Amino acid sequence: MCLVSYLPRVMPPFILAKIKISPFVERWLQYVPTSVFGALVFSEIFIKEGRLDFSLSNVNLLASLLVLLVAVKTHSLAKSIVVGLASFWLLQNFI
Amino acid sequence: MKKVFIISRIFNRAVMKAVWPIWLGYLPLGFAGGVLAQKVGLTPWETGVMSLLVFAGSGQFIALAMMGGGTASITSIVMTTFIVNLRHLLYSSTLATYLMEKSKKYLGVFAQGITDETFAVNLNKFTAAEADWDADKALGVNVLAHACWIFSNVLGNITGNILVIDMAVVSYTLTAMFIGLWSFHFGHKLLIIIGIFSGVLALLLSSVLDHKLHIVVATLLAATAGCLVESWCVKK
Repeated sequence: MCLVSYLPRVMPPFILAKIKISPFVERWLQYVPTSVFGALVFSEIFIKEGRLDFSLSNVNLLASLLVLLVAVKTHSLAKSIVVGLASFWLLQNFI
Repeated sequence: MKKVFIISRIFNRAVMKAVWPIWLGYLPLGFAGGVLAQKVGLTPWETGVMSLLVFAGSGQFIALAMMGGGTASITSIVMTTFIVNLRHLLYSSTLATYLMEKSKKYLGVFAQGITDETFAVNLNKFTAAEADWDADKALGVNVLAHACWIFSNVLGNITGNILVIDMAVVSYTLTAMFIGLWSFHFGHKLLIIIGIFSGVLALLLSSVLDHKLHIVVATLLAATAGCLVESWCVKK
């Protein structure tokens, strides 16, 4: 388990240090962060216990829209997380 | 003297400011992992060693669940862990551009600390306009996040289920963090569109691909699409 967890992490920098990165790959890498985050965020919001949940009763969705709003407006990670946790907790318990 | 200098480059206020959201998520999550490990029959020592050597949130949870089930073979547990951790290939490759001149030993230590969360935080810092981030600070984030993970796992294992944790709220901490970090990457319209595209792809793929592989495949496809759309727009 240790080995299979470690290998995917450690190989790339060793290999990439040896070869020169082409401009195309560099351009491609620009789109990796937004793609990773998009995939992670959508999965966490919409996949519940292995199933897709697009309903409005999905607490994740409502809280996340609020978090997104706060994040875009304030550019503060701390505020986003606090608002997210508070709204998630309130929505879950009182709606 | 040299040693002190290096330590302050790795652990400092900027690093603490970057790592706290990860701690907020890892403390309860690791605690829950430790409780689960205890139920499956691991000692605090075994839990600590597992968290030190494996350091994979979902990988560990899945492995523990499989151990608890009793029917899974060691091979299938290891294979599943491997597949779940394949996305670190992507993270590690992306971060490699910022680690070019580092020694093998350095890379070896750095690599072990790469997770969804440390990758997300470090990448944001590396690409931020302030440009105040370097490999040493990133290493600090990795090490501190890892330390927190080990601590909370062992604590959960020792104390057992004395605290009732609302797992839904806990795992939402990290979701909120990802949303915040994502929004900081909305530099131009195409980046937003590609991000949403990747999200939709991930959902579509999640029904056919197991073990978080959908994250990897969606990212590869969406980033390629981004490149293609960009060159198409430039040609026009």
